Amino acid sequence: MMIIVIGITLCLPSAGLLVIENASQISKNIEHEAEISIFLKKDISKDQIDFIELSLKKNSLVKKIHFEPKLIAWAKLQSKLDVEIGSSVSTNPLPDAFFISLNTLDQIKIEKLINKLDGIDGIDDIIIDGNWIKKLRVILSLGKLSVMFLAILLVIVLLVVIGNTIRLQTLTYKDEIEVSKLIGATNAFIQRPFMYTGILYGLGGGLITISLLKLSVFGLNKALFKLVSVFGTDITFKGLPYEYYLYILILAMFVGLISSYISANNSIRRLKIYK
Amino acid sequence: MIFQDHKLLYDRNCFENVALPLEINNMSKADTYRRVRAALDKVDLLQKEKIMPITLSGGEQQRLAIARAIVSRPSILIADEPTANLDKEYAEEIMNIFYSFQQVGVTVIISTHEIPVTNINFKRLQLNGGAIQNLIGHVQLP
Repeated sequence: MMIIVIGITLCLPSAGLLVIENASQISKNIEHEAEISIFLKKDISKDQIDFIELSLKKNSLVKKIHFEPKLIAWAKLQSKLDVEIGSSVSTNPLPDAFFISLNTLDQIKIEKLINKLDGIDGIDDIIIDGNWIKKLRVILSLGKLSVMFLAILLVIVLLVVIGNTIRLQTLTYKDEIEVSKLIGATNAFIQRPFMYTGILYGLGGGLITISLLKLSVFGLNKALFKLVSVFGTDITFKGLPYEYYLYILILAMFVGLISSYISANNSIRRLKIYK
Repeated sequence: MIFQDHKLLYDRNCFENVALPLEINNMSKADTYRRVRAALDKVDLLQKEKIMPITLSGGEQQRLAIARAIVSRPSILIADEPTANLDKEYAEEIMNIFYSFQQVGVTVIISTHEIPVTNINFKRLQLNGGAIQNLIGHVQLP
């Protein structure tokens, strides 16, 4: 019974960790190319555009350059919005733009490049498309923090619950403990079986958590497979790396040990020997 | 030490009850086996090794408690009202067992409110409020 309680309780933070690990994996996969959008000033001349294009081409970091003139951008926007804005807006509000993709992910090199581009006359705005990745990372680290907080709370709950169960067990074995004490057993000797029980609870609970996690990953992947085959992409929900399972087991056994030690110690010392 | 209400563990058989002190002292299985059987033999309960204590009579339960007390070969045996709830023949049996221990060099201290009727020589100490009042040595009772 206790094993099921421990198993399911530990499942909550572990599942949270699972979700975060997978999300991190996805964010890592997406970051294959760094893209920069360079928006030019409105009143830029053709010569300046050529100059910028040349300097971009000369730069070793730049992999691909795509120039989008403002007329084409305006036409694209209008077709996207599907309305005739041309009637209400007389001039083209969009600027010319270069969309470049880099062949490096090094933040420092990208920073240098941006600083250099900033200095060029005619460039209005530079947007790094990797910004949303940074936001995702921040959200993920926040998620990890909340999962950790949840885990701490649940561990405290487990300590109390296991401790209570062990206390009840000592009450069940009251007679034996009494006799053992009278015959001369030390408290440590009497405590030992209860601590073994606590560790076993932890072990069983940890194993249940691991099997529940594996089952859910398996089930989710089955459902996901049907879903993504419609979209044509290839995403699988990965389970946690194997060290994490070991950590969960060790944590569960440790929780069992600590709570049973404290509880048994307390109960056995308090048990009064009545003649 | 032997208690007035035996304090036996009713969820184990006689052998395991007597083996408890040796278990606490981490004695090896072979040694435990030998000693427990010797103790049970001494109190004449060897054939009842595997049965549960609840099925024993009052005198037999007391004898089992004695076996548990002597299995660790103590030099002093303290008995708290060992014959209090027993009838005459059981009481006589118990006293004879104690006498046999005394013969092999164990000091037996018995606390009782009723002087047991026996032919054995013993020293008698009268206590009042925790203090020794009278020391009557080697009284031979009728």
